[in-house]
Amino acid sequence: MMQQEYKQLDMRYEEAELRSKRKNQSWIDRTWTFFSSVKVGLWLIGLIIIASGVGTIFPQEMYIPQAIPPEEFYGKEYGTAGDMYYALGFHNLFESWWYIGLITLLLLSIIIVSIDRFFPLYRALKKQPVIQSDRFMGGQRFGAEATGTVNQIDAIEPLLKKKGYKIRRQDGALLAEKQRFGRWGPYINHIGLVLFFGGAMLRIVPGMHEDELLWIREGETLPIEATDNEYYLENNAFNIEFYDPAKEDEKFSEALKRAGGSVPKNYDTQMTLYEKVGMSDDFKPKLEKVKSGETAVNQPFEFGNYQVFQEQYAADPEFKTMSFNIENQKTGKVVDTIKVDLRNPQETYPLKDGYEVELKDFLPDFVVKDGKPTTNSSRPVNPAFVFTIKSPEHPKGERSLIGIKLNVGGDENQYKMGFAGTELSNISGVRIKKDLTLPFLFAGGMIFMFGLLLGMYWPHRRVWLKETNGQINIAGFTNKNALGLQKEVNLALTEVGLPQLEDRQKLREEGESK
Amino acid sequence: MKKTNQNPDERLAAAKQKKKKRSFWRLMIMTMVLFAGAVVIMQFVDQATRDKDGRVLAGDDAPGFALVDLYGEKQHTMDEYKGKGLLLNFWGTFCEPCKKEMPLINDNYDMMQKAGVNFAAVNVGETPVRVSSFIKEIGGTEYPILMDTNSSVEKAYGIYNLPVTFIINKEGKVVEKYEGEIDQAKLEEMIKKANE
Repeated sequence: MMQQEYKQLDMRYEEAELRSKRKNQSWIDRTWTFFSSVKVGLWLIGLIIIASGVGTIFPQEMYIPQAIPPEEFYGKEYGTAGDMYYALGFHNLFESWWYIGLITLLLLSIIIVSIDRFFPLYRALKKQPVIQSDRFMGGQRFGAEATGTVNQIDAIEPLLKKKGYKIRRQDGALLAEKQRFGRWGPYINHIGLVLFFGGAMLRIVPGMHEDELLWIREGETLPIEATDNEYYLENNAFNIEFYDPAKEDEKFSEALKRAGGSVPKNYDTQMTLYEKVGMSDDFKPKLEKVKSGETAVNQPFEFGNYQVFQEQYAADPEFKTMSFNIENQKTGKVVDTIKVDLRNPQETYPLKDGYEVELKDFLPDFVVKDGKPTTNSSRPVNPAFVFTIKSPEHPKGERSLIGIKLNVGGDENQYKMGFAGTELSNISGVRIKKDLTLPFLFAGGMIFMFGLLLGMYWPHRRVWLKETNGQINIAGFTNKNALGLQKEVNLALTEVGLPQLEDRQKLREEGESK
Repeated sequence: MKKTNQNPDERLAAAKQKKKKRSFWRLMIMTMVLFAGAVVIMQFVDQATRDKDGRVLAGDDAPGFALVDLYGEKQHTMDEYKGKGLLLNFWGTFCEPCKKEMPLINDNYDMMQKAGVNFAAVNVGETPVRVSSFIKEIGGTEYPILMDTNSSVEKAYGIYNLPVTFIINKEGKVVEKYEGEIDQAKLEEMIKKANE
């Protein structure tokens, strides 16, 4: 018997009429049709890949040395190519208008392609007939024909059922189908992609993403700008531990010595978080303690949606307080001791027995300019003080200028300020971060992976059997893993005495090559 | 199944209606995606024109502040100055040109007020002891000295060099950022600009 040859069908969309393939009239439909083409999507992906690749040839703007302006840097360093690189915006590629534009068009393409294909495919699969035409069955990649009876079809039903196929029967014909959901993989995958890119775009929405570096001294309480100054952070203590070359393994001790002996082993900050609950009468914020904790490298201190990371520390600690003894120069007797907080010095320090010290001036970074004492900056690098000591003997006060290894005008006075110690404070650099877009990126990534798995590992398989005038027509379909379908179905077919599925595509290819 | 009791005209009308609806949704989807992309691009372009180190420049909105004066008497806020021009000056006692420009500003303060322009001088994170001693030394000022004790306003404006004066107009926008000592001519120009 002559077997009629049918043209193999493209089963990707079940021969459903794609919306975009209809005749178009308006510009809306024409634009839609353009983006519904998978070819356009692939072009966009290709362009994005090439652009991203070119963007890695020279460093991005954020990685170049800050001393040179970028417009000069690229030309100087890389010549004409560098100039072109800068002119075309590759130096800041991932924020350039045309790169974001390409991503947007790709997103549009993904969305349109999905809508254009999903709905017709869904409908076609939902109402598929059990009895298919000869053209349809002959056009499938897998198939076979033989003489046989409906009894054989009846016999194969439980066998296929056992393999997990869902069976539908109509007038003796059979449709066995399994894992239809595998066909939705690519569309779920697209949803994940759209969510992922959408999440990345959300970064620009105010309040979704914050990033701030805060330098905070021990004992200091500072407002956190990233929280709109609603929260304050206090640095209770900063601890740093260095490697001791003598105690470490010999292997490392030499390297440690070479590094100057100051390789930090660990550093962390004890901190307390406060919430601003209002303003007091003297215009200071009223703070309410929320919680305390510590932050070490890679172990953030968390509150609300914020995370505080230990990032840096200042190499040199700063003077925090200085203490002075008020001494009677003649007798050497100490009257009292005062402690001056260098960040917030008082104007007067009342002492025992009616003595008093007035702080007339405080010069944190003492220098003499034009014969006058003054300060070079606001940092307490070299503090100096102008004190007046009021005593019962000298109610008007005795004035002197005191600093590190410095005592001007105090020699003739009856009372002098004697240096009695200092406290230092470390400065901790913490990074405050908030990123509400992460859940979107995470969910998008998970959905993407889920769609990928679905599409990769659950092939949609179908088998059609129908009997006409003693002839049995068999057709098989799978969207992945052809061998798997043949193995699964051939076993059942052989058992009921029917021929195995042929791979018509393979036969055709072999026929052509001969 | 399809309704068969419709006449051809009705069917055509229904099909047209459906097509219209489809076109509408297609347009909606395309517009929404392209709009989202455009917003992101505009945001990045906006960021690129702004200074990388968070410095406030001409054309930016002046960041708000709430600072107490040197004597702890009154709190001054950005909002209080809105509706009038404002020259917001940043200074330190360790800065020589700051010291030089202060008497000139003080002499012109009355004239400025009459012209409808305020002047405020923010000290950058120094101690009250130091600032009051300094102000006494130069003979006091008519205009308010605001104490930015924890340097938060200094940070918000991204101050690097002193002195610096921001000319802020009635709408609270920075018209110009001027780094350096102010002289009589510059001050008059600033008053004019703040009033525009």
